[in-house]
Amino acid sequence: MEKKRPAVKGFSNKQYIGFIIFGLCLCLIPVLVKMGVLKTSFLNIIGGSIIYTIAALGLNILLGYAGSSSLGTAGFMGLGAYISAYMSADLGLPWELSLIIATVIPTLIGILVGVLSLKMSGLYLGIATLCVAEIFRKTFSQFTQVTGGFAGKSASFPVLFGTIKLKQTGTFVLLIVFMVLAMMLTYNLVHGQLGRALHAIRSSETAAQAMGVSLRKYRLVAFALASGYGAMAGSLYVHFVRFVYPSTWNLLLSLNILAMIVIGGMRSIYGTFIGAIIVYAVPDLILKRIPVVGSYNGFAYVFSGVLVILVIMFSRGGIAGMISGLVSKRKARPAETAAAAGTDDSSGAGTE
Amino acid sequence: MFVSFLSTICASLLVVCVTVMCTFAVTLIFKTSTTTNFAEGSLAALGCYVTATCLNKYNIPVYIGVFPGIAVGVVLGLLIDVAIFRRGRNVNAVGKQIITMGIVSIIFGAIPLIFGTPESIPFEPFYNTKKAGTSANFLIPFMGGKIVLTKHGLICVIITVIVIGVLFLLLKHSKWGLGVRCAASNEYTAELMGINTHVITAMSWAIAAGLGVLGAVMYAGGGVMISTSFMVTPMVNAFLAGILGGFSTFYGPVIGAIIIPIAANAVGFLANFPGMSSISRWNMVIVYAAMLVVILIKPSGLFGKKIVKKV
Repeated sequence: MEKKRPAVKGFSNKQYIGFIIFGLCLCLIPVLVKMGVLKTSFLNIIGGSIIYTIAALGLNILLGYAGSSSLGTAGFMGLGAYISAYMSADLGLPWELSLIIATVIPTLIGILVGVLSLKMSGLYLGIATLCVAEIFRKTFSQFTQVTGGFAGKSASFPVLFGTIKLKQTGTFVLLIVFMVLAMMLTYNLVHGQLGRALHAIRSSETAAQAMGVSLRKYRLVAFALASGYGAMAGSLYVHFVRFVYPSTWNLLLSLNILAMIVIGGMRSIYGTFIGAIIVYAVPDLILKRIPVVGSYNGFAYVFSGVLVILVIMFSRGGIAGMISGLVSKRKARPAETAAAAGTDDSSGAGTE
Repeated sequence: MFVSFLSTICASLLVVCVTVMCTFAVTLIFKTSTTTNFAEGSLAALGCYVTATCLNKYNIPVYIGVFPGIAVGVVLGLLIDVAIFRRGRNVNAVGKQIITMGIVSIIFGAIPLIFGTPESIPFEPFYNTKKAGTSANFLIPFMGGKIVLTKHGLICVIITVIVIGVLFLLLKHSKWGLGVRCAASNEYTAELMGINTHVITAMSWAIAAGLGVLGAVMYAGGGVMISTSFMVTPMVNAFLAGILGGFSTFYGPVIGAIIIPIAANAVGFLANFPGMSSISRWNMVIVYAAMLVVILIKPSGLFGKKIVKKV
């Protein structure tokens, strides 16, 4: 293990460059839109996918690494969105400050919710976090002084450092910057001590405790991270979409974010983005544009539902697992077995 | 005061019935397929649309029109188990949840394709008091006041008691019930013992979907506008009732399903006291928060048993 360390570090630098190049590639989308190659709606949909990727990255740490499932992601996203909107629109705080506050408060609440994970696991924990999300959703619709109730609440595009007023394209680039940063942070976290500790907890709680890994500490940290990423995504959402309704933050959104991870591939950073594209963007971007199929309103949802079910039933380890499986087939035999073991491991990661 | 409190409690009877139906369905799937069936609400809504079509297009009364709806639910439930869940046995717990979400997505798209753009379809209660020209409520004199009870609610209570009672008897005394209890405790051993778990789970899916449709028809008859997602709230409450009562038994979740709507109305009743008028808006938040506290103290539910795994 000790020998491998430097190699891993070199690899991580390469990964950073990879994330940045990936971000730069996405920055081409606004250029293509300006040139008229792509429609403006493309920007909105890919922007949404980027926001959901950020939330899903946080949930990926919790589910993929810590092995605890959560159905509360939408609640935390909504919380971040409403706090951010209230801070910037009603209190007139600068955008940066409202983003920080909107991330920190839900993170602290996330730690409290994490206490639930010390008591229960698996499907029970999922439903308990759903209960938390329902409390948030009801609060969004009833706490009218802050949230505007069912009528919703509006916010503006971010103003950087109090001077640079961004428009849609600028905000889109800002989203990419945040996603790349989130990807780097996730990569660093899961390849450090935290990642190792969470791996140990997921494979055996008892063994992890025997090795001196504090269950309480790392479970709470994982929950805090998932809530923090979610809230940050929510805050970015409200400044990109510029409007927020209570009904957005429902169970279906939490499930969609969960689906992004499972489809993209558990514990895969690029896979999370692919999952977000498949779940969120494919129905709008591709299916609705196919002739005949696209002309009926419901077909897109039917197809995406079928797609989701097929991917889960026939590709163990999600899209990322499928790709690494294809890559490993081309390599020499020993590498193949190692990669196969890797994909098996990722597919076996359940909640229980 | 006490009489109006009783009236408030009675007003939650219909929601109690719907939640109990959904909860029983969700518990059945939870125990036989080890997943949270998020498609329960959508399946129920789809069946309800079928019933609504019978009502509005063919003028069939609701107590007959409910059967085609239930039949569609049962067939779809069977289809989901046979075509999807039976093949996806090695999918992990989260994967199964996502599969049910995929089904939600399919039904969400299918409803407008089949029934057109469905906005506020009219529906009628089991006993159409408007047509019959009688009052929609029973007034029961009690302690000098009158307890208000809707006729539709009362009919639903009777149906629910009969249906759930029969199901409990079946669970306890029939071969299917024994199979369900066996498969729930250990599917692999149940198979070794010669129980056809395929039939057991398929039947459970069929019953669960049918119960959902019946619940949805009751709910819609109570004056709720039907839409693709109108059964989501009862379904979410059903899951919460499940962990409140504990999924390890069948009666636990059902009791949970009775507690949640009644508690919500009881908290809402506090608005009648001076200075508390805003509480009725917050009743669900208070009930859910109280539930979280209960779950923290008793993580396996009020009636749940903690299962100790032996090595």
